[in-house]
Amino acid sequence: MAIDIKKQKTLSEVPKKIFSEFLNELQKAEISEDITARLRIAILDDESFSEKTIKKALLNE
Amino acid sequence: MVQARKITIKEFRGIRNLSIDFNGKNFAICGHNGTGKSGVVDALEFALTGNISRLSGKGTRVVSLKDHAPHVDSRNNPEKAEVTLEIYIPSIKKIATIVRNVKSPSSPIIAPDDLDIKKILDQVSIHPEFVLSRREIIKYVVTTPGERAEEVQALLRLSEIEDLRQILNKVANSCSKEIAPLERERDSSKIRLISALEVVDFNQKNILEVVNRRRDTLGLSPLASLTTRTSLKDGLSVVASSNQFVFSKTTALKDIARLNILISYIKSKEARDICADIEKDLLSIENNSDVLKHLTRENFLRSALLLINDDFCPVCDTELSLENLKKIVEAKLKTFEEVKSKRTAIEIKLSPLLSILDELRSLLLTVANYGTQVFPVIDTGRLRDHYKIINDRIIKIEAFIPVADTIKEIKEFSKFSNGVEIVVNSLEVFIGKLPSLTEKDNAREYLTICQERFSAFNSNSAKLAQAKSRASLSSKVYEIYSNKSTEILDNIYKEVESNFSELYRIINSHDEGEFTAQLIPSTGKLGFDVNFYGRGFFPPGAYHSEGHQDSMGLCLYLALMNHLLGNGFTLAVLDDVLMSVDSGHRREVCNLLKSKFPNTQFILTTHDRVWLTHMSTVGLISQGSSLHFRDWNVDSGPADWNKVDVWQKIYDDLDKDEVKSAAATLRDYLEFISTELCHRLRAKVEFRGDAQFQLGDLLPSAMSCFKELLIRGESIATSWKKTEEAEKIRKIKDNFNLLVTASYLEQWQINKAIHCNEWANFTKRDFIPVVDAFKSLVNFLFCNDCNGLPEVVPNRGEREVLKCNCGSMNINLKK
Repeated sequence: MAIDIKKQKTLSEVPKKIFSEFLNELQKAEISEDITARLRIAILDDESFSEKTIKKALLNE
Repeated sequence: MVQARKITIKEFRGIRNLSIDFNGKNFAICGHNGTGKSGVVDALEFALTGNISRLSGKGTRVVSLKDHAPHVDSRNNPEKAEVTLEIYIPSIKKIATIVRNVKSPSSPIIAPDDLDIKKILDQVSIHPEFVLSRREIIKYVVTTPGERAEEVQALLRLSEIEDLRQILNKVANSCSKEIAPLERERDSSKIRLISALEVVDFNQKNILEVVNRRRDTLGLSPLASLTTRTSLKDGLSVVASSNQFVFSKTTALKDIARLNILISYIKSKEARDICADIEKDLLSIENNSDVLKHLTRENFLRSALLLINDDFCPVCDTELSLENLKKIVEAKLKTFEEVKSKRTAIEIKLSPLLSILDELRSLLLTVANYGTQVFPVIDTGRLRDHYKIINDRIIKIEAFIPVADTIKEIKEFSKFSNGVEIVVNSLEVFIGKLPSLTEKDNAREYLTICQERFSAFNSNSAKLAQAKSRASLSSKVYEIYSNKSTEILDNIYKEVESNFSELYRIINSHDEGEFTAQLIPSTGKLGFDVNFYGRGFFPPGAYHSEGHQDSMGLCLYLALMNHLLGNGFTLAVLDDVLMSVDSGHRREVCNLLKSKFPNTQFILTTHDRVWLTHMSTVGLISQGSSLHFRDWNVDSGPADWNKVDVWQKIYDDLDKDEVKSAAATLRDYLEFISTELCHRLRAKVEFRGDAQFQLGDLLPSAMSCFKELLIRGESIATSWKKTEEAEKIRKIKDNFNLLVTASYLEQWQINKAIHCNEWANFTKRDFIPVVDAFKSLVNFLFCNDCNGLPEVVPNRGEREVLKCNCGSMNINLKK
């Protein structure tokens, strides 16, 4: 059985916890739900940490 | 996590073929430097992660896994370099085997094909930190706060937290940077609107008043309020115009007047002084090749960061993980902080000049257009040419790099072609002579121009508002993220700090029982101070000894791993990590590992036999859970005293008439066996502070101790009237005495001829009987059933029993 290590998602528990709580805080701070949803997809689902992706999610551009 | 049961290493690093049974227990590998211990450590790491940190970390550019992981003789056959590791996974109670070779390090063969096993091995593969060497210990302790933060974050797999912080910060910064040029554009359009409106105070009341006055002249209904959607010329299109020109004479003259003011300012001494000051700052960069080089690199790296979105370098297309590539670039960027602050200071000075240039650019085009709208047409080509010059100037000054270009533009800032002024003046004269319009036409032109500028102003204001909103949003999001991540990380570091202090106190309870430490996180940094005997908090390297620093490193590592993996911390490979720690503290380290980490399998390597003994005495490693490499050579790899047929090697050497080599092996082996026996039998040996015991210090003591124990055992068996037992011991004793006599061991101290120092000078014929005699003697000491050496139990206090592992020998020593 060959394992493709390169494409594994690597987010560990602490970053996951911080990111989740950060996104919850955004909702409490009345940041628009659309922005929070886009950031959630980029950070937690796609684990994509490029400036381009985060900027796109944050500013919808 | 996993535990190691058995490893088989083939053609890997310095090892040709070696199998070790760890049995999932703590295990120690001892051997001199260069005997192959680290090869086993590398093999464990490779089997579990597909990588070898010391072939791929910092400063390892010239070595690589593919080229240098195979044994040197198999360097062209990486497929032969293979490690097979049998593991036990406690969390799912399953056993699995991983077979990985250097040719395809990322495609191991895992059996059984089980999703649960695969999932856990995926996790293990991203945790190379289960291997800890002394080099790595130090990076947690004696290092800069910035580097420590990186190392600790990497260990705790927190790097994404810092990555996201930096990205959010960068987005917030870039959004706030967008505000300044948009503000300039908005201000420029506002000035032009005010000029057209002919108001002093720019407020709604004044604007409505002047606009409604013109609307009244034209018979248009007054505007009640002013919003961004308001059309100042609402209803105007239905009113016929008698003006032959499409602009307002008054507004045009005002624009020309404003242009002249700007030209005058640009040519003024004040502007020249400002430019000279900026030029001086720029030249200080330009003339310092290092700063200039750094600035250029900083600019390049900043652009590179924006372009990195995939797993390859945007410059050379080299494949690199996105994370690694960004880390490389960001680490380099950090070295340019000083240059960055110089650049920012100059950019602040440049900002007012850019505002003037913005307005000038806009006015040049507006005034040039007037020339094409009069009859006969006035050639305003020079104004358009100058518009292009100013446009280029703005672009170059905003770009900042190359600095030489910025200097050139600043030098040119006050220069204004006379041709431009001539055109402007002739246009002013021409427009001034145009017949005055009727009041209605004037009102019409007024409303048309004002509406045009009002729209431009609204549009620029909207753009600015949007930019401000983006900046505010991104800055708020960054602040929320920073606060939340700091709060959680602070708690994590508090836990680690407390656990670290507790572990360190256990090792140093005799003199640092009150020890405490402080882990102080700040943006991108992690300070680490330790209490020095109640005198205050200092960096670990300030007053504590190297040995204390080593144990701090180990404790910090253990505390971090505890936090990271919790119950999943089931395997740690400690590669010669405590070489600076003295023997007393090592014993405490053994106790610590045993008592605080009962569910963690430690595989330890050491070059120090005493350290190995401590591990055994304290019970960190059990009987049979150690390996002692006696030797290594490139052809055969490491050789283990317990597993190699030493006698065969000695006889092979003698067959080749290599007495010197045979004598050396015999001496080394007897030294190893004597050490083991002295330890197991609790023999009395003349103490040496340097622990450099020689064969002459050990062998006679071990043998005489064994003999005394047999005599004591026989006597006690006789006193208990265990005749059969006493007879059995007597036979052992007699046979042992015969063998000792045959080895001339009792004459060791007085007869130099039989002393090992002389062996190398023996002839083959003379040496063979010596070998035969010691072979018989040593083999006699090993149990025929369990192949173990005898041992006195317990290892402290009154001697109770002399026994072997299996109990075949079990001699009572207690009266």
